[in-house]
Amino acid sequence: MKQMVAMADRNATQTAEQAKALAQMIVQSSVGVAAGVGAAKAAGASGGPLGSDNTVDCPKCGRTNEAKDRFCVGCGEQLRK
Amino acid sequence: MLEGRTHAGSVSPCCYQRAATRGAMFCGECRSPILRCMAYEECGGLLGPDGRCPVCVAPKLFLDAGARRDVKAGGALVLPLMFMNDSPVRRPVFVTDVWVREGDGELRKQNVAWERLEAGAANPLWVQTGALERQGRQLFEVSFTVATRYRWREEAFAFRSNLQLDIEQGGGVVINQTIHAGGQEGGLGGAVNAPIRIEAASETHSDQDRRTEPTLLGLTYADGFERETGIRGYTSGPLQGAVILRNARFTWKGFASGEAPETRPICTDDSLIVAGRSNSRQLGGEADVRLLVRDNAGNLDEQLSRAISRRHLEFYLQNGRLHVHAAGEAGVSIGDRRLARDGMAAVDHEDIIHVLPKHADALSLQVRMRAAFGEIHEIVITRIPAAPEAS
Repeated sequence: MKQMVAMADRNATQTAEQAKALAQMIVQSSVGVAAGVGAAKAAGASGGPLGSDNTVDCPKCGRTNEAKDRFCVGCGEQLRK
Repeated sequence: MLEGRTHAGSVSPCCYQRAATRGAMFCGECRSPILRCMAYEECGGLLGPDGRCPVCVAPKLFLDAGARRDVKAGGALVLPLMFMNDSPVRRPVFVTDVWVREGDGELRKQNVAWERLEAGAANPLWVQTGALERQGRQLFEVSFTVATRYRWREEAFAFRSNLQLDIEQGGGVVINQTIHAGGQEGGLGGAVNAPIRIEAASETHSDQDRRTEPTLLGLTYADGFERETGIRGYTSGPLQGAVILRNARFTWKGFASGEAPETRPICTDDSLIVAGRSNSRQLGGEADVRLLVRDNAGNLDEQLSRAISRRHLEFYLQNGRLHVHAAGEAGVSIGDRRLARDGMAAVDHEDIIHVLPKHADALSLQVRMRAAFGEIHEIVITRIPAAPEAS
């Protein structure tokens, strides 16, 4: 049973690590948005749909997407190649 | 359509990132439909086609210390098992059924005194084999059902541990088993053989036959067993034995433009398809499918339409079957079965859902399913009568 308790402790540690990983993922996501500005410009250069600098509007459903998105998160329409 | 995922537990990180965006239905990076766990707001888990949430459903099975063999006259092996909920979030699971089977014998259901298993906790269950031969090999399997619950919903999955018992000449027992080294139970990790030795009982050293450490047992996701026992999928009717995949497409026919979603799986934040009088969620309403009563010429029947609640019924998948939850005050009926408010029922192929039970002909939804190889990959819901301008 001690082994089980130790395992449960390890599990709690994993939870904390997971929380950190999630936080890191969110940070990375923010970085991705920033990086997506360049993608939006690239989309503009290739004649893709344009929204603001950080976003791109879907020509099919009208949903506003992050500029880094290759596909519309609302309908799956391709936004850029 | 499923470029980003190949198996439960192997959903791409890009999908997890995009799923955090409210209302996102597809991954902006790989275009995979985002299939959220019913408990997504608690667990943040995404699903593979089999519908398992790797965050909520993470059982582990151990052979606990104290495994004992007493084979003096073809005796039995008693296996002290420990069931553990290895979910990394604080979500309990429920071990609802446990069976054992020797060789190709009958399944023997075990009496389990507990059901709820908190995250990180382990509960014991002792199971006993039949009389073992002095020497030779016996196959022994332990199967169990793990359910995860959220609000009124439940998803149950079956797992199995296959043990091969080799009875040695000296009286010892070796349990041969295969575990997955990749960490994902039933996943794609490398399979390795991990034998467990249990020494024979001794009259002078009775403790020598007891193991001192719990040993992890290999688990396999038992989808075939789920169908065989009706844990998942349809147990009767034309699609008996078939299971709806979590990525099955919903196709809406007979609806006016803008009143039903595009063909796609259930990708909503709450993993429900809401049908009712309300505008669509994208327009700030509550519904994904708009239900209004119209006459044959397409004119709105305001009086009957007002009897439809803004959130009238909800479609969702549960245990590989399509379900309806009557959320509106008037309830619904499925064929002749009346479903009062908050009632839930499974829906079968060719069933007709009457939106207003007291006015059955006013507006109905016919359900058809398309299956191949025991898997239902498309659900077609047809509005009756069709809207005049419907495509």
